[in-house]
Amino acid sequence: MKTYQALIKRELLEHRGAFLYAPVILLAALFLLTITGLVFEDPDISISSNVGLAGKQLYQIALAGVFALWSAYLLIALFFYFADSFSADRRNNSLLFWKSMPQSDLKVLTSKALAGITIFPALLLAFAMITGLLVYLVSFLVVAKMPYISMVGPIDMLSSWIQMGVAGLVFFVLNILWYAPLLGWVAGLSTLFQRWSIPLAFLIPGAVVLVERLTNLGAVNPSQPFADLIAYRLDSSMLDENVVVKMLTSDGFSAFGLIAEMTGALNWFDMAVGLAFASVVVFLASEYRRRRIDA
Amino acid sequence: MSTARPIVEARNLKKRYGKTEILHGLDFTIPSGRIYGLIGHNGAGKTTTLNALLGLTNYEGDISVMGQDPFRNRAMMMNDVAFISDVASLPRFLKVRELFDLLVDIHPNFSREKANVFLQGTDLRPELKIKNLSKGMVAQLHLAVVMAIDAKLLVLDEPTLGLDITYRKRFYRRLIEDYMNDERTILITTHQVDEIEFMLTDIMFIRDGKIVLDVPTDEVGKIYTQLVTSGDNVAQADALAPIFSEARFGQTVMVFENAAIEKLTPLGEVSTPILSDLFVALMQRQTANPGDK
Repeated sequence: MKTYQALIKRELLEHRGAFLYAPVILLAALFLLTITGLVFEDPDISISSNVGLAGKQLYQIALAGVFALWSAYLLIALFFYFADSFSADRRNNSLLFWKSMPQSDLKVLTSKALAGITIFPALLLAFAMITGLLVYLVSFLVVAKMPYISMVGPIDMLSSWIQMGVAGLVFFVLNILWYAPLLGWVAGLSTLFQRWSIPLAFLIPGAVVLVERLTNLGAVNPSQPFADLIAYRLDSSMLDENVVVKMLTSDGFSAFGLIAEMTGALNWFDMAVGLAFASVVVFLASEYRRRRIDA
Repeated sequence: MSTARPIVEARNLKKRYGKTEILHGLDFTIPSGRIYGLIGHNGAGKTTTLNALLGLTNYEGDISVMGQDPFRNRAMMMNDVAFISDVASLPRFLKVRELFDLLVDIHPNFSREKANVFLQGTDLRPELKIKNLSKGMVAQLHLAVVMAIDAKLLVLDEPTLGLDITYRKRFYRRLIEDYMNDERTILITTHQVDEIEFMLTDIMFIRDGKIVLDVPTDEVGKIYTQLVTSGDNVAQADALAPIFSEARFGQTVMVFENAAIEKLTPLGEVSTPILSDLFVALMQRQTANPGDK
């Protein structure tokens, strides 16, 4: 366990730019821009005073937006992480150093995969939570500018923040697990083709879909199982937008309702198949790495 | 020489890349407490041999490194084996302190205290980033890491490539003074044979994937003799079938194998050839193996 922790820490140190520094800069920039905008500009938003939304509901919707945005950042950052990390040691000429350590290639690559599904999501979850706090601070200015919106009390804010944090955690975890085969796909390509993995991750499935469509030209009921599979895998379909808005604007919002919605909508068998695919990719990549030492 | 189990044993070691055979059935044994120099020209198979010993590539034949099959058990084997294969292979994104922090948890035999001691007297500081270090400093750091691992076998593949003479000399001096003892073994390859000759206990010359010489350095003089001669003596010496002959500053330098010293002494100055001369001699002779006809 100590070794895994160290290897995961190594990943953090190597990729702190994407998962630590960039989010800090992004968050600071957004916060400053928002504050500046609210202080120096009159908000060009006309919300009727009888819109029917209290500050608490608005805060919950804002929090949901925050988690959705950080989740999108996480998935994009993880895509680039897996497109790089499985071949990073070869590319930066440190492969032989790591191979001089008494750790197997399987353990090293497993630690890279584990970093992608543990420490990095945890960091971005923390950023999402911090953003939630900043949104609350910003809400003071918003209320000052738009007095028809009621201020969220600290107890309500804390309750919403914690509830959304729990729901956000589950959302992050389920998202990553659902998209694990796609991340595994680009990681496997990275092992073989290094940075070409990024275009190839799109070009190869794109070519297959194209061939599938060409073979279906003129067909009355064209069958395109591969295209359907890709479309299905790219859509986690965990949350219905209308249901979420309804839950967030209700008085009795709880994380458990949202979690039940997410877990109920997921196809767990397909998720398990995807995880098995990703695990096989990690194993095969480790066997490849065991045999290749050239850059 | 130690009678304990050899550190390394290779039997009929072969390596192919596609249809091309790079190593043609090497046999050698490396006991503990020795410093072996594996010497050959570019493409001779030195690095391939070392990679096979370190479990970095698959191979045909049998290799045992401290009783382990290197390719199958590389991770376990690396508890007692260290190697430097390229001075630039340390992870550049880390600081010196971060590297030591990680190694404490990744390598069970790494000692941060020892590493810090080895860095004393150098310009290396814990907060320096590796990517900002000079080549010489990286080499010092890598050597400190390796020596702090307390490995029984240290494999060095061109460890001082690209370093200036000051760093090269310092590197080898520290190796001898701070690392080497009777229970440790070093296997080293380099092109700068003259610089490591003083420390080698054994030499292996490899040519075109075959071992052409594998002897303790103190036996080189019993097998090979160098004669520096000139004038009419050249023809007489030539008749004794030197394995190498070269004109040098108006004189002729010849190397003989298993020659009778009493026949050579009257013809000029007789001595034991230095390794670089012997290397050139054996690399230029027509048959790769002395036994080959």
